[in-house]
Amino acid sequence: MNDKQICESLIGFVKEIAADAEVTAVISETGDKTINVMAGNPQFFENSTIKKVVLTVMINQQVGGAFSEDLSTEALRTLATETVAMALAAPANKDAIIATDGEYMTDATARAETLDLFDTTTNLDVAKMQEMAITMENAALAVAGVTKCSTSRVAFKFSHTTIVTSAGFEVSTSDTCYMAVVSVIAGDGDTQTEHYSYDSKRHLADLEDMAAIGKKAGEGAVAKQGAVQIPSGNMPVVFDHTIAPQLLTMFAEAINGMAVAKGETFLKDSIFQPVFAEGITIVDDPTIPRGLGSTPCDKQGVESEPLTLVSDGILQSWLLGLASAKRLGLTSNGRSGGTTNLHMQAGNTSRDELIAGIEYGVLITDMLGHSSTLSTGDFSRGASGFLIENGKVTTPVDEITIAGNLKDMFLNMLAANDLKMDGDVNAPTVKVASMAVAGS
Amino acid sequence: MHSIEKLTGLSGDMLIPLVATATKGADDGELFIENAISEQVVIDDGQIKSTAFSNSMGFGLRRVVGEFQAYACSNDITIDQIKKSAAELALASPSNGTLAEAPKVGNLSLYPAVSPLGEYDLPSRIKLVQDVDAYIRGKDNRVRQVQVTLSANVQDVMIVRPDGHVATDMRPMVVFIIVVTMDDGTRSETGMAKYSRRESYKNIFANWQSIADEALRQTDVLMQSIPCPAGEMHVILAKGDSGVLFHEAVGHGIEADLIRTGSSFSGMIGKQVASKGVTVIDDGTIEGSRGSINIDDEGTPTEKTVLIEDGILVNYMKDRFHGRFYGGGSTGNGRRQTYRHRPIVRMRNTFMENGDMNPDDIIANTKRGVYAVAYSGGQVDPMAGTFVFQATEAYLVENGKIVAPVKGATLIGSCREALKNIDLIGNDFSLEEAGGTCGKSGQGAPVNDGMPTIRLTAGITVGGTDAEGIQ
Repeated sequence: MNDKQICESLIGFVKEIAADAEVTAVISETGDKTINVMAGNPQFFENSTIKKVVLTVMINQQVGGAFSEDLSTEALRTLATETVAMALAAPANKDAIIATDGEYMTDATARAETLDLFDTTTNLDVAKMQEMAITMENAALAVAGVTKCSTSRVAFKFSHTTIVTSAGFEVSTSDTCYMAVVSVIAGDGDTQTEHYSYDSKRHLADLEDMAAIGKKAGEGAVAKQGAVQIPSGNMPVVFDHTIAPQLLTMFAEAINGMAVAKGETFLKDSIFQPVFAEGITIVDDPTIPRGLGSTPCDKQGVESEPLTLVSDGILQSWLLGLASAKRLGLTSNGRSGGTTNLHMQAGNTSRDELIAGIEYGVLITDMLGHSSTLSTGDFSRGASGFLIENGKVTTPVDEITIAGNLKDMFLNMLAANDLKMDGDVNAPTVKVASMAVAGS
Repeated sequence: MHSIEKLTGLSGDMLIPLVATATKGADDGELFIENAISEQVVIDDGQIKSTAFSNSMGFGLRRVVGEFQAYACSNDITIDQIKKSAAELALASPSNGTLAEAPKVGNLSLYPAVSPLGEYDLPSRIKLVQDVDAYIRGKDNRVRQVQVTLSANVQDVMIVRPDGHVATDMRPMVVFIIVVTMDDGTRSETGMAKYSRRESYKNIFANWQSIADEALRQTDVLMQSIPCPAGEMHVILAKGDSGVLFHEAVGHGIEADLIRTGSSFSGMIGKQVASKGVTVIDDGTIEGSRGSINIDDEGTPTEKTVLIEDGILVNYMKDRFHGRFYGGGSTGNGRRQTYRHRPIVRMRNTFMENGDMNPDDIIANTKRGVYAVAYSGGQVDPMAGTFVFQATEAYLVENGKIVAPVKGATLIGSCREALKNIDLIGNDFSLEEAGGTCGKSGQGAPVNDGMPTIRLTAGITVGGTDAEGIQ
């Protein structure tokens, strides 16, 4: 039986017990090969392939869910029986919903294939992976001032996913992902500093050069040497393009349809209002070929189309799945799983010009902790980076906290023109006019 | 026929030659096959919040050569997939090893080889958590929230080695957790009680009232607690639950893999690391206990391993690799969370042995200190040898008497300092009622801990909220 047939037989088992049940069956097969190198020697090699089925059963708004890695007919029958029993025992859930004919996409599988997410050309063997990891490590160690690499890792992942619902929706997708990550230490003892670099791509041919990743991490660790602490005060804060995507992720959480419907976000009343500074445009595009977040539709089967979330500072749309759309009286835009490939468009100023206008401020390259409150927009993080003095990046700083309110930060934001489309959330370097920086 | 053989159609005899080929030229390696099933019911805020059922099944194949480990896993348990994995591993690793000796053959039977799943149907389990919820709410009108979790799992494993050694173990587990929140209009406190053992559901269904009473008692004590004084003072650790402190502060530092990377106990074998009279043991052989296993996940029969004897460090906890690295062989501490994980050095039931003092006399002999009974969790840095613990049930002791419950007591200390400052050891040893799940390198392992009542004269600072309260 192929995966689609397994899903169909599972739905059949559920229907035998509960004829009026609405059923979603998902089969996923994931593979992961990882090699880890230290001081030129492989430490471990791991290779896994796991296939599992996740079953969701909805009977009169009552929901049960279970999973199994045993895909034998006997195990699937047990799974169906247990899941129906769970649904019947559960209280009603008003958000329980399944896409009906007309709501779901009918050519999702064909559309997924056009996105070119599966690299069929490259078979990455372990010897090659080891060579890549050693090249990355050597490049990092070659940077003057680097003490050691704590990890140099290359991974190759693939996944095949099939979703079938009792309402008639079906999709099969396949994707690959190549990843390289290196973590480098400069100095020793109390003066140790660490920096990591990574890249991740759908196709091996697109992956950044190993030596370049290693060199970048090494230089990053060395640059952090000799960090000072600074006195507290209000000042301009620049978020490096490697860290600015975290601000976009917080924005995405704040416009999540369910958070809006429950009144849990500080942007709940801001639709069609200015939420970012003029000139800032934010787009979520699931159609980018080879994109890490690209997809024809969300897990509910509703088509995901390119969406302009913020246009010249004005909020244009929420991220909606079927349940949040129903609560808000709107239509799903295929975002029940959140954003796909999210990015802030590049501005007109170069990064150097953006920094040149700052007499005294900080450039943030790392943030720690998770302290932002969705309901109020209050933002506070541990951070480190570099001092900006008289328009130039000077000394490394660490052990500072930066605090503000996301609402103010977004409205007073200036974007540089150094956007690179690398991961599934991308932003250029951005400047926030003023934030509270707490140091020693 | 073993249940895994029944499920996969593969017998030990069929698998041995495959494993022999897969580990050719290696120092060690094995095939691990697992079938794990679990079920759970949770009531929260008066509603059945979640019911869950999962079934996980697969194999892990390992090849160890020198200090390099290659590991492949899949849930497609077929000869073809095992051969494919073996080829990947051979390609990834050198082949200049010499096969190590097979583990001993074990014959332990520390728990019933039956599954608790299916013993009570879903409606009976839902009714039990609803009954507990109603009982607790009916007992005390300050109760605002009740959360009850009832779960069970069974892990069935088969280990096949290249030398023909085949070992199996069927490991049942039940877990029962009650969390109670009381509010009297002026303050709100949350207390809990847990029970977990390798056995059937029967004891929980028969004795749930006493566990509910314990959750109520602990919450009631917290409602009367005063802010904890801060500073360095005598600390009395009560029997049983205080064992978690030993697990974190002492146990992890004696795991051979952490010794190898430089834990604070590195190079201390044969040296005095604790006060005389302190004996610390890691024992996998306690009947029905949460941390017990008949064999570890490398196929070594479990054992009782003395780690510290009369204050002297005498052994490390070792898996097969570290058994070769440090000599003396495995102590049966090679464990893994699932077939998706490589085995690493883990604890089982870790405890300190009895002394000869009456625990009441320990309190009676203490002028001023904190008596800690139950904990919500802790953290340890095995390299630096420091630990931090939050006590959820603790009392202030003055002039040999317990005077009041205190809240917000955090115990901060250095493992090696604390161990050397144990001056009184009680004769009231007990294990924890429930034990816990120990996390290490992204893997969880069920463990249990225990100890008698002891007193520490130094090495622990009490980080309370009342800094004025200590003279």
